[in-house]
Amino acid sequence: MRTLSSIEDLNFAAAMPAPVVVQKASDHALLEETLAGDEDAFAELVSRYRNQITSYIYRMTNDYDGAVDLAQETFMRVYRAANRYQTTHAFSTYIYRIATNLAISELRKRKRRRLVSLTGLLSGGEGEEVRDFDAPDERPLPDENLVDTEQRRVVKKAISTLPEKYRAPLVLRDVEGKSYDEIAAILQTSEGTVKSRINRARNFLRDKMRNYV
Amino acid sequence: MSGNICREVRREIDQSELRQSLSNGSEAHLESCAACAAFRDERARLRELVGGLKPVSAPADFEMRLRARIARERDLPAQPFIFRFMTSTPAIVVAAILVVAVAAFVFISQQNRRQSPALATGNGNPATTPAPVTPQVAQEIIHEPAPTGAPDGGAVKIKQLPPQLPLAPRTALKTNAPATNRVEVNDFAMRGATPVFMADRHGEVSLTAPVRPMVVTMYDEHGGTRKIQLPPISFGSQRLPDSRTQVSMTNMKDW
Repeated sequence: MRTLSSIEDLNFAAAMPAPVVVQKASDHALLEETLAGDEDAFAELVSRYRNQITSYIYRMTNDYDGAVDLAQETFMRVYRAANRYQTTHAFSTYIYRIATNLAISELRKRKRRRLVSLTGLLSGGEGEEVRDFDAPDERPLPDENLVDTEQRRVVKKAISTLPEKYRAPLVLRDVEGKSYDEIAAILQTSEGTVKSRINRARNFLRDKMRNYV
Repeated sequence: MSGNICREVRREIDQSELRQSLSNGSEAHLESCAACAAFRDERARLRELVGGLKPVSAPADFEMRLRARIARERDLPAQPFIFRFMTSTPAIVVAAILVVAVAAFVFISQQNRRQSPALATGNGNPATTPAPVTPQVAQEIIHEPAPTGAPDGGAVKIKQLPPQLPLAPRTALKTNAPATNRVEVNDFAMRGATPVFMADRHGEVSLTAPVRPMVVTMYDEHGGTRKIQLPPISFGSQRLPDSRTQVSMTNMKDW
């Protein structure tokens, strides 16, 4: 019988199982599991994309509560149309496309509402006070609680004044960091168009932020 | 040429990743072109500003709210297609089109009702052509001045006029009937109308009351003539029987 000279003589390594490497399921696999009725798989998809989608829609609409609602609607649409999803594109492209369409629809609705409000103002009495019907959401956001500089406000305001066809590619490129081909797939347009629109959007922003650039 | 190079370099700057080194040719150009170098710095600053916006996070209850929404939607009973269609945008569009179509139909039918049926029957359709109207026989009374020295004041001749077609409604002008079937319409505002008298009953002739003594000459079909002398007749306050000569079938002295 062998006597132990030190604690290191106890060799448990052989008895211990090898470290388990958790293979991260792909988005496609999670969606297939969702289709099969696995709600945890869908919850995993949601946790992967909820912040990205909320942030993207917020940059597009400049309204946090509205962005959260639209992000929820985005996931609802993914859930409802899970059986129609085609794996020809990445899931991220698919979900960003849905989010973009919802955000652009919201911007158009706002534009219509503003038009109706202006019509009401024009037909109102002379003493009626001119109000801002599309007031930006001024409440502090989670990321702005610490630092919210004047510069950021100017950038946000400048982005929110961009036409929607320039705003989406600029946000996807310069805020979300997407590649040109991915942006082209999300916006369902050509890469050349995306590049051209981003260039115009930057020129537009440069004019808006002359004092900061 | 320099403009083209600058354009190409700026395009490369715009499409490259932030702070990414450019191609050798572009880097060399930037060394010599201050405008392009300034453009690169400006673009880099702009992209840093935009990219410096911190991402926002979804609220903590995002998943819970989403699960609640999914559960609520799943619990809703499946609505039949017709109900879903009725509450959808296409249904609203279809309803709007139907309303417009009905309104157009009512408007057109109202317009047609205001017009005469002749508009629709102008092409001689036997099913809708109105029944032919018998032309009325009109008669013209000719006052003949009495010859100088004659005892009577003059003579009246009754002459049958050619039959006239009845007046057509004004809307007949709008018809597309062929020229042979077209009814001529006279605008009496432009020229005087031919006098038309109501036809008398058989054996009766109506005359305008003479203001002077007059003679009525009648012709028979063999060329014979008869004259009847009529005294002036007034419908005023005068007493008619006392001041005029009685005319009757039995009064032979006037024949």
